[in-house]
Amino acid sequence: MKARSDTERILDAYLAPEADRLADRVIDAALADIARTPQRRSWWPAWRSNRMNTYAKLIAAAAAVLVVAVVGYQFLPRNSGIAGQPTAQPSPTATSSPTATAIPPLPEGTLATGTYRLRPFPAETMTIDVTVPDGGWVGGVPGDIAGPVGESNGPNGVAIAFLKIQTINSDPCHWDKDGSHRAPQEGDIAVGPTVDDLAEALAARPTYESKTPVAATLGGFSGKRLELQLAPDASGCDSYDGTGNQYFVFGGRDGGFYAQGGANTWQLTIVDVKGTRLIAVLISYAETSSEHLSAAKGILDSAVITP
Amino acid sequence: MDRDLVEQAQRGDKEAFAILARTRGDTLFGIARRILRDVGLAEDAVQQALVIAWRELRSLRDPDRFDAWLQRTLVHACYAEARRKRAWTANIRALPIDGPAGPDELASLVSRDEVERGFRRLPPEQRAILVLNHYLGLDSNEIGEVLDIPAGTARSRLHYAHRAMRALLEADARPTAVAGGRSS
Repeated sequence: MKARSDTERILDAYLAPEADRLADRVIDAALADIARTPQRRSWWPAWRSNRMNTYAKLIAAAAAVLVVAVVGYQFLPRNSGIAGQPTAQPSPTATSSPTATAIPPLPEGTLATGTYRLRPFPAETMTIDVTVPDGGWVGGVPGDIAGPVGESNGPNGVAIAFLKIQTINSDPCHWDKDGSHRAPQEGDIAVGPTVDDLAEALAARPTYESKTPVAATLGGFSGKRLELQLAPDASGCDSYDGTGNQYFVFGGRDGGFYAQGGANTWQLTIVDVKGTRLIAVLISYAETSSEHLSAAKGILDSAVITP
Repeated sequence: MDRDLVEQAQRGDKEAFAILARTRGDTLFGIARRILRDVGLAEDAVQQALVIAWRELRSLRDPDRFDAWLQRTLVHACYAEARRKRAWTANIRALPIDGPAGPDELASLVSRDEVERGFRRLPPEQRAILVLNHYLGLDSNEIGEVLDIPAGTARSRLHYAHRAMRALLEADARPTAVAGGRSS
């Protein structure tokens, strides 16, 4: 038997089983979500075993070859002419209608030009299809897109994210209300359920500059848009884990979204997607180029939202 | 017994799924806690994984593979949590997990802080494969089953994860002139 290396022994000890106990509230919360979540009808085997033995693989391969051969035969020209001569093309109306091309899920990392499907809330069915231009935009699963330069960070980055929140902080700079230095924490202002409730609550906070909410649409859904200009310096703000200083506008589970460092500009588009209040955040900075900002707005303008 | 429960849950029986969730919750939490090194994120990942598992359960063709499938769902939920955090908290280090001190063997080899620092610097994919191996005790074949990759690929990834961890421990042991930098 091969002797275990020091690294393996260290990891054995470090990751050793202990008395892990999942809090009942977590299971209860999951089961509450499940009570509202329909099961998706299976139409494609999302899960496959990789324990297929060689014999089974051969049978599967042979079956695949047979299927390809049969299907290919169906598409062979029935009326072959002389070799090299063009054959008649089928009329668009003679055969089946065009099939929709599947939109790929947003991958992690640098994105090629194209349309991607974001699923910003993995436990929910909502999808957002967006078209990304060339230039090296960056995907962040499940639903964030950052700019080609600086990504989501200052002084010249740009980024798009999608959120869903229920609370905000009256003082985004001093969000660590329980003194735990843990985040996210619930905000101290509970916001009503409508788009207007949130837009008005955000615009009313005196701790950052905001513009008056205006009517807007996103992905075919209507709502409000407003812009927040966050404080130029976050150095006096509460600190998560003693590392840096953070500025949490939002509270709750998605309050993990925050500004670190000053002078963030957040353009928020808040829409009601059949009962779900969706927030699209476009983050930019003073040195973000107009080209990248315009491209980011173009990505948002391309959004097609499916509840 | 569990196969029956899985089949019932696939037919929409929420009570059956609740039993499956409760009997596996602690193990799922143990996996997530070790990958994410943060109790809150781990709880979120488990909750997400259970909801996704319920939603997608009908796509599981072999009920006997439920545990591997559920663990795979959890690992992907952990990736999503880690990335959600990383995308907007790039300079944030997750809080250490409170818990009993490690076994004596660990103390005799290296300090727990050094291991913690090194482990946190691994990408979530490497943390996951190490957790499956060292916490759940899975071999390369079983890791491949959970991650839906060939066993050879799992073996290779495990090797690289060990190598990366060793390099981080060795680097940490060397004196450094400059402190700081980004963590992910």
